[in-house]
Amino acid sequence: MLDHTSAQLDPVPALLHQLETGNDVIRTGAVRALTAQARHDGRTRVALLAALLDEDPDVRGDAMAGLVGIARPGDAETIRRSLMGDPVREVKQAAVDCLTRLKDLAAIPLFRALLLSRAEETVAWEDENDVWDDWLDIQAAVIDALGQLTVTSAIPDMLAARDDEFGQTLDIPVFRALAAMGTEGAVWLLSVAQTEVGLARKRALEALAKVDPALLADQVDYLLADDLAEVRQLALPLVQADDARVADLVLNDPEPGMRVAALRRYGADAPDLVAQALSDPNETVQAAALGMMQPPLDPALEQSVVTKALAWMSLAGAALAGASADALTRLAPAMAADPLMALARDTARPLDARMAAVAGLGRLTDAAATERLIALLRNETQQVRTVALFHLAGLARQGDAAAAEALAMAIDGVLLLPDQAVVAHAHPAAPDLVAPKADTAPRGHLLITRDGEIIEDEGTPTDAVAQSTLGSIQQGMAKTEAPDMAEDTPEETALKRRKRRAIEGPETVADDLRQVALGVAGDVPAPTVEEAVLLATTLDADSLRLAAYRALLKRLGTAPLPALIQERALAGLSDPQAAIRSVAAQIIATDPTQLEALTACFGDEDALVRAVAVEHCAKGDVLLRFMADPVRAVRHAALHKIVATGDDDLERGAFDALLTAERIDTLGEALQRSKIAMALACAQLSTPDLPPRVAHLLIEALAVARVPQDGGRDDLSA
Amino acid sequence: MSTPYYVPEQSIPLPPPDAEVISTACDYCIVACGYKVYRWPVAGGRNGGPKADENAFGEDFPVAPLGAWVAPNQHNIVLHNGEPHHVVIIPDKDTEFVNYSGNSSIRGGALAQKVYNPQTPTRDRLKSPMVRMFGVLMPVTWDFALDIAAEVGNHVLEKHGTNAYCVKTFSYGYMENTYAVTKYALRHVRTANFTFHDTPSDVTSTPGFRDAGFDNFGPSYDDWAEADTLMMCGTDPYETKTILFTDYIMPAIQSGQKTIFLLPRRTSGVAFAEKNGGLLLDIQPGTDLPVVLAIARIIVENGWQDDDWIRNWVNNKWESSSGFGQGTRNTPWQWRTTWGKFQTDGFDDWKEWLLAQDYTVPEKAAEIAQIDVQKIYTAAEWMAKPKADGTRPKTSIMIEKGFYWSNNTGNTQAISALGIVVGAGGRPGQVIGRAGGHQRGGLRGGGYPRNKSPEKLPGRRRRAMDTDRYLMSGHTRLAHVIGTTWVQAMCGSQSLQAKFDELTTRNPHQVMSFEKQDIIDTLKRRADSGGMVVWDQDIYLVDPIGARYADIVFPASGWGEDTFTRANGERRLRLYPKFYDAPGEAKPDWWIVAQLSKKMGFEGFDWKDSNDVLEEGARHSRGSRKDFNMVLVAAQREGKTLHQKMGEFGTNGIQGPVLMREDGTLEGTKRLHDTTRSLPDTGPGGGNVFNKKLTHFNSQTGKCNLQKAPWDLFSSYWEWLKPREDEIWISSGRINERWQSGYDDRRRPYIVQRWPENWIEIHPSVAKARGIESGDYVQVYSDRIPVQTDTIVGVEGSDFDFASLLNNGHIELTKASITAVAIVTPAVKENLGYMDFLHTAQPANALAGRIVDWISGNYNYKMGVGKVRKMGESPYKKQFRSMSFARRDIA
Repeated sequence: MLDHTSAQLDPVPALLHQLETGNDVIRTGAVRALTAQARHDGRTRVALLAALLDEDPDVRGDAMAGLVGIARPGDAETIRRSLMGDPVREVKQAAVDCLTRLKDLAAIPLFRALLLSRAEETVAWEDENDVWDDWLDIQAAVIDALGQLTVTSAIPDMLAARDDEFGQTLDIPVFRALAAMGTEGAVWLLSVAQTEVGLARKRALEALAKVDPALLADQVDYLLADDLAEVRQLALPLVQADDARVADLVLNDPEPGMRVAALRRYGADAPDLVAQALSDPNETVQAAALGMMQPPLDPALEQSVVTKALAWMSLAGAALAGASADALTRLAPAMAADPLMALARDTARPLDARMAAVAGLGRLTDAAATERLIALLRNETQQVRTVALFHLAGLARQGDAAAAEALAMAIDGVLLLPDQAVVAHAHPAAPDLVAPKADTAPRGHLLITRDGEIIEDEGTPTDAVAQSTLGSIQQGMAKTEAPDMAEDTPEETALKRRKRRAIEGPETVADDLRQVALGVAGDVPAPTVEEAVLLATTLDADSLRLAAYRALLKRLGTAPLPALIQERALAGLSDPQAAIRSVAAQIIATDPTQLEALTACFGDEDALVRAVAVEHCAKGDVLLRFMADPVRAVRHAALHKIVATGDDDLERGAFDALLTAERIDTLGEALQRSKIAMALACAQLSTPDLPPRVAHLLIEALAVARVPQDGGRDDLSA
Repeated sequence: MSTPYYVPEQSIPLPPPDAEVISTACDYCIVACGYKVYRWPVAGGRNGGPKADENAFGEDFPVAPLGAWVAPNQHNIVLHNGEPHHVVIIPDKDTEFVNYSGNSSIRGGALAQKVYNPQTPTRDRLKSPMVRMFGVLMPVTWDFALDIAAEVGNHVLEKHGTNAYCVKTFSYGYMENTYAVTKYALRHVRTANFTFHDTPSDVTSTPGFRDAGFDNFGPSYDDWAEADTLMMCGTDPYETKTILFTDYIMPAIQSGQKTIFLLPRRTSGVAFAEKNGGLLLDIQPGTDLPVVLAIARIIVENGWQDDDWIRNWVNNKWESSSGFGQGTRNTPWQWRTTWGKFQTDGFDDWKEWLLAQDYTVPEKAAEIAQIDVQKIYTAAEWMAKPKADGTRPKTSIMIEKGFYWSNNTGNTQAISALGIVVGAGGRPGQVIGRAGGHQRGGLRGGGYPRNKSPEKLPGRRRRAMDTDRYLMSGHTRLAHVIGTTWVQAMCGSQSLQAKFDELTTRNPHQVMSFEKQDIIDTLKRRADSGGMVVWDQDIYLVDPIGARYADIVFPASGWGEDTFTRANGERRLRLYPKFYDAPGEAKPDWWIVAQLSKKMGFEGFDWKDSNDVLEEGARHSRGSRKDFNMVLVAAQREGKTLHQKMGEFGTNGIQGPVLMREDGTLEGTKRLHDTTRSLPDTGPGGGNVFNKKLTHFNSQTGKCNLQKAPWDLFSSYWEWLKPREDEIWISSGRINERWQSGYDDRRRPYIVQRWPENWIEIHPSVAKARGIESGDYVQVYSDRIPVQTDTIVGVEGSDFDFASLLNNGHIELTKASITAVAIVTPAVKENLGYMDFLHTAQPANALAGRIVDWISGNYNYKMGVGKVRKMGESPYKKQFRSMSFARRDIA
């Protein structure tokens, strides 16, 4: 590795030159590159100050943004002039930020003027049609600034601006500024809180609480008496657990959310309140209370809780039913199995409650636990099957042979009898029949199924009187002529309809079970599972094959690859599906003895396949050709290897190749990671008569060669 | 047995006399007809009867044709406060404006079918937040989903910067929602990686209008009817804005209005116009500009231009230079008026330029566009030739996407110039504007952080980021997608989809846990590894953005499920009240964004209801075409909420910008740029904003800029793209029966029966050469779909012209293939295939080049090419029960 001097690695002189000579595209890049590469360099600060007078607004905007945090008090006057004279909003915003950080007291009159108006007599703005929006941003910025500078004399003006019915809503910035002003601001915040209503009052109190909660200590009763739950909630941190008001908060607050918050805060110290909360009229509160019930409980209470939980599992909404399933598992595991199974299977119950039931079943450890989960694998609901698979996989990893066998069968797709593979729904089988379509007589002889199929209602007599012209026509036609195509059109295939299913589905259990089983349990270390996974890599369905290869990848232990896996992986390298090829390549890459096979993937049309091949077996000059790859992931892989080699020639080659390929993002990465590349960039930039395109490339690469520092200096490469 | 046939319901209940009546407006097209919702409880069976005193309409049934009849599609049953209620949703027969005749389109007439009822095909509405675990979307609580989204979101912001956080959102889904979404994305996330549903960049859709000084939606609906000559470019209002056509333009045509369509396809509206003496300029795609300028050329060569208008309302040399026409220095668009390519020194300078261009010679333009040159001459005569008595025809010009999405900058510059020359602008019946697509529900809660965009082109301010290209380059680490399909709605959609696959489903970091922290950690690792995480927020699960890519799905509520506000195509503001419960746990978009924002630590999202949001946002409407701040002022003075005040306007609404008179009453604005309007000499009182565009045009001087429209800024692309060998143009657009992506239509049996698949209209000669007949399945494909690569290096303006991009290796050719059912018809131009624009299963946009108009940053969605070959017969070919191959261009 060459040892580069700091002069060779110093891009500042060249960037300053480009800032003087380049066009506006290059100048904006130079400003950002200076900020990225040499932010705290005095030359940068001087250059940025000068750039505030650039004719290009983007250059000025970037320069002012770059000055934030590095400007010195002596620069304040220049920045103030920009705030007044530059019409561009972004320049103004950054200028306010700069001056605030500098604690520039001379800017206060200007800030105060901008607080109340556009101050057009002293401040320039862009096109008047957009002035309103521009000023709103600046007004909020100067309010923040006045707060940070503790300009208490501006408080009346800030309140006046907030009260301007024609102005913008300024509650948040004004209250934040008042809060930053200490006692004097807090007094005004309290005043707002005591005299106003609704959102404004709530916001004032929140601002107050953030600054000094002690200021609210004397206001607890006042807060607790408030109509707004959010305001009452502000009092919670100020009420101790032994306070007499706690019970009232937990049990009697009119807002369920508040009762839940109180329960969570005080419940651990007041189990009797938790028990009482089980009788709350609101299910969310009941669910929260149930979640806090931990054994051992008083026997009578436990009996009561279990009885309630059983009832709620059958009747309550999602939150309480789910909490009940969870509580039953904790409090009465011996009697939980049947009710949990019933809930898990009941398609009329909320799905999240059913999933909670399956999760509960997964925590039971009795002899039939595995069988119950296996039984759920044939459940029509995809999410129920998935949770069951997850718990079965856990059991199999602990050595449960039955669970492993079931998983292997699920992956094989032979768990269900053929006639059970598809769950037929009786129409109109919507699970949530909360609103019957009509309270009148049956309305037609066709129905639409849950998947959007339009099907004939077999219950309608065929000799019924036609209910429409079309119906009349249809009655005269032979039923056999009707083609079965509603479910086969490209837009309405079963597959497509499935994708429209928000919650449950798909109904084709076997294929879905195979796919999910491969994902959830494909890495279970059981021979039967491995056999099933290997078999699945030969399936016709692309999605199943992909899932199988992914499972295979997860199963890998130490190299070399077992023969069967190696065979399937090599087969996968020539799969027509790119996703499979990339997974197969990752499998091959784990075995150093097989890497040669990956060289054939250098020319793969899929970027991720190429990236794997490059990462694992590209060497020497071969790496350089990937500097021009159209996909960043491939270039990144190649560059990573080049830099890791420590080969100066390769790094030079990479620099040249990236410059030729005009790949700014990877070039930036190279400059960040390679001193050689940085030195070459600095040298090139210093070259007289450098073509503008090359200068642009190098400058942009320098600009993105640092991680964003403040969220406002983004990677601007495109 | 299954059958695809739709049979309507036979009977529905009438509302009883005491049914609640709620005024609202249609959810669909820009016209926004007024509707009434009649609501009464199911419990008790208190339905109305056929006698006048037994029903809410006060009518004896059966009623006369076009009476207060209720169609079966106008009834449904919903939950209201948890209890089943009947709703009947019908056009408001009493409204004075918009659908003043009580008429409805096929879309609005079936509004009741869009509301959620689990016994109808709406049953798959999203009802619960979901998180993808083990590859499966699992229902979770709001807190669970939002906690994950907030923590991962903050991680992306901190580690990868604000531009790694993308927000792609609808622009029209009511002002309460758009205000909240933009406040979150632009004011708090502060990302430049932000745009709306129909564009890769947050830029103006009509740059030429912007430069000329025209607002997109200045005209009133009455203006279209009052024109003597109406030119409609790139749209048939009958197909897409039905009531605007049937209740305004059709009667005008029948009363003698001369109508000129500029379209590559003969539609129903065109057929009606032609039958009544109208004219179709049946150009081939992308050739609007030469034809428009040729019309202008004939007008000026004959001296038919509106000299008085031009003298008074067009910037002359001094005015153009002073303030550069478009305002003070450095405005984002100012460069176009000083660049040298567009700006003129006034009419004479523009005329000189016009006459010097060979493509503006009518015969040359006709050759490029492949039309009968006589039509150009006729159009010019109709638009500008003074009548025998010396008076001028009142001419108006309407444009829409077929026009401005073909050659975005060029076409809009050219039509603006033609509009100015014929005096269209600012007078009754003499206007120029957009017809509109969706309603106008945008309200900005933050300014676009232009300084963070990487799109710096020489000589101009940074342009808004091309979010598609940014994603393609792998910079986007989190995408929050709100109410849009994104993939199918953008150009070159199949290669875009492949990149989504690469960044999401093919990334090694997939969630394999039920534990919240595991999920968060996995998603962070994915973002850190160069992949992308996706939140999708919608009313239905959309494939693929939701069904395949989303890690978190937020269920949204929509029309009728919360109280919202929106404007129509003549800026008419109306309240859309909540009248039923949203399904399950679905929440309005503003609520979802507010909760997420709060969890991310952003302040100011503690609204308790949608009225709070609008009241905060009202101030931000000032100066806009929808300015309704004075409605808020009036409401507060009267002790009402803004929603209450808006509701008082009923279906009549009030047209923005809204001013307050001295006596405190409110006054709407019939048209913008209204040169006939007098405002108080004393200037704006109180909080009124007298925006210049109330009575003048949107420029520094208040006059119009008459600009050049160079064909050569676009022609290199057009020449390269135009069909070769056996290719034809592939373009797309809307049809009357389907709205947008068909998200509601796919759940309406009649529409599914009528349009079960995407289709392609092709000319008989094209069909014959390929052995295709109506009803055949065809493959529409191409292996030369140009897309911009993820890096564009340019320091000179010429670097960004298509030819230079191609030469510099910044254009990649991709492939795409979709299927369609052939409709063979002479209604289309001979070398054109025309498809439905957003059939999500077979999106026509897959064949349109992902090349932005390099001036504006917009896509030209209508410009695709491809080959067509027969695949076989579809089932519709011979059974005559689904689809129809009957000609639509018959009046």
